[in-house]
Amino acid sequence: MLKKIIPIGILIAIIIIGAVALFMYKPWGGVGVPTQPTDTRNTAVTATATTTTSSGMIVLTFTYEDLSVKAEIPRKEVLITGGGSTFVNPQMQAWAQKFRSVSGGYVTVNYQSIGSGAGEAKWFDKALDFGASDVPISKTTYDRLISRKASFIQIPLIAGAVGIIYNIPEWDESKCGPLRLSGDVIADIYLGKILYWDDDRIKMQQVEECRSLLPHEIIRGIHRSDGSGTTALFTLYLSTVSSEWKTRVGTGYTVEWPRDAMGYGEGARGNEGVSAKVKGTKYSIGYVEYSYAVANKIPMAALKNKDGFYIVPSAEAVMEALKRGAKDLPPPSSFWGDVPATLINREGEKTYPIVGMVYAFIYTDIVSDIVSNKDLAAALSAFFKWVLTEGQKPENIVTGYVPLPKELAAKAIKYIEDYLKY
Amino acid sequence: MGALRLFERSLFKKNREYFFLLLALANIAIVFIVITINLVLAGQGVRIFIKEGLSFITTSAWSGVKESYGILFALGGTLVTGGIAIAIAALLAIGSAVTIIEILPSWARAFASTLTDLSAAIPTVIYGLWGLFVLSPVIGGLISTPPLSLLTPYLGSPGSLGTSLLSASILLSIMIVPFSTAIIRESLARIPKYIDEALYSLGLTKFEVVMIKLRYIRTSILTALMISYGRAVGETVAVAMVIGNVLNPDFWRIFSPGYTIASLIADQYQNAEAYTYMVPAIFGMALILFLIGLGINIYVSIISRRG
Repeated sequence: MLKKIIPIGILIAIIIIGAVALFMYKPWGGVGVPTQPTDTRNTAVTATATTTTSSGMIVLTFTYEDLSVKAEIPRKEVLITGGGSTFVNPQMQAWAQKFRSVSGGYVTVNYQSIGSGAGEAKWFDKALDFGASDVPISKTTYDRLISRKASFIQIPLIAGAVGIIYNIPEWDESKCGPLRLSGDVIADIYLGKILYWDDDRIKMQQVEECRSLLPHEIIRGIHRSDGSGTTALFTLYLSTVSSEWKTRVGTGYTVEWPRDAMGYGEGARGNEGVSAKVKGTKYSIGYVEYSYAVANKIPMAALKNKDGFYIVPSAEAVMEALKRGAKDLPPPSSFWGDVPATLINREGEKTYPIVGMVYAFIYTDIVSDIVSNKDLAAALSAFFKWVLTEGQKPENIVTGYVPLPKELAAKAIKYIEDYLKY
Repeated sequence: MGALRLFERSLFKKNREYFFLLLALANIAIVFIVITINLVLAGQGVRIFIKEGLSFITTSAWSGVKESYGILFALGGTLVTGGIAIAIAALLAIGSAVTIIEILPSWARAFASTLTDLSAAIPTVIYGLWGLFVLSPVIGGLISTPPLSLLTPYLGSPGSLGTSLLSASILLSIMIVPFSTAIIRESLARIPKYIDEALYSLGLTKFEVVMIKLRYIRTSILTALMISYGRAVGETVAVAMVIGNVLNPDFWRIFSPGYTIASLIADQYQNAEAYTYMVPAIFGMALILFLIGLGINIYVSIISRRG
């Protein structure tokens, strides 16, 4: 009997020792947290004015233009887990990395780009500390939150836009400038009502001497085949400018494309897929994330805005739309379903029409939820305050993303201060 | 192996039953995992069958906005691309297996078989890239010029960069050839030498001998092709890159772009949770994909037992 037990016992002992060794190895190892003795940590804090409160929090002051906001960081290692939007991922990773050093190594933000829809669902299930999405909380989730009597806020984090790209070999960009298009024409192209590039409605928008350059060729309509926030924003724009689009197709991460059914349209995966297809297909049109087009230097079309000006996407042109949208931002716990539409097709001489934001969702009852989560609440509050101030400065913005205007950032910070108590 | 033997000797000396218990545990774990996966698939997928009923597999629609889902286009695309792929792969695999075993001199044999085996190890995304930028433009060019373009009214026309159901089928066939070649090659090589000698002594030509030997191993060939078919219908990344990703209800028009179940899942899972019924629809599709695979496996085991 003993002979049987001893070898198995040895095996189990080896496994346990191995597991313990692996577990212990982590704090000393090169992976993950770079460790410093606790007392030297404060020296790593980079922001202005550092003081320590009696409760053991580090107090930092963050600024953005004339905004100035105080935040407290717990003197304890805190891990914030967030997830959602793939669009915001490169920016979020940059923010997370920078904020780690700002917080003196105390706060680690772990962001997983699992998609906006999944981000919202996982946050709702409390599997994530915050969710990030290209659209505000959906009606179904909102109703469920209300029936659960949950307290939560949603805030904007950063902005982006959708650019229209095209491939017409005959078009001479140096002479004619970017192709000019209006929303109703784009909608009718994707609806399959405008078939050829030399359609009168496209022609008449161009400068006179360039109208003859448009060839009698069928337009190939390229779109995203995977569900994406880019498609959601683009179809929201089309629904805003075309009532036929709104009733026949609608707005969503994926829609059914009428032009596909006619054989003149097709899908491609991701921004890179769409741009590769447009590049490789003569007489095609497509849409990509503004940041992607900027990073890859792809020329974009000028779009006619509400006041009739043709605008090429740029950070300033996006900012114009955001400033106008900031006025309409509702209270953070109300239903925000109409917020994206307030940024679309805005008036102004320099306003680009297809503009959207990334939204973060945070529960504000974290403290009452689990008693010891005061540190998490403080860290969340500090992180988002930093993102909305220092995080919007050019040195912390990844190429192609558009910072929020000061008015909008101030409003979001106020929401955090008023609701996220700890 | 030495370490394993040492482990076995020290730990299980005179107690071999413990060793076999350990093996049994691994097996039980795998069975358990497979069963759990299917329970999840069925549990999630059943909601879409309740909502859509049979029209989930008899109609073509995919709209989160309207919450209407019908996967006929993807199911059809899967079966069509898999079928064409297997037909092409059969010719290529049998051809190359016969070449390696019967025609090549013995020193080149090992070299050629290693090379074909190696091409099975190339990641599928690389096949996909090659398919998108090299293969499908060529095929697209071929099917949009006469004489093949005369079939356009019946078979449709390719999308940009030549993406089409046909391009995906041909890419798939190239991807599954190494695997089926390996099986056919090994069973050809396993035919006892005396059978060769007996056949040649009857005065048969090499061609006749090869044909008889192929018929001798026909069960193995069929098994190889069926398993390859299973792999073809499940292939995701490479197909998603060359198939064009278009909701094409006329999936039999193989010159036009389309979808397969696997590529549709890859496209749609990310934001599916934003819609009430898209997640069940994806699980329902996955269940159907699993059932196709199960059917193939059952068929293979029946014919191999008969053989």
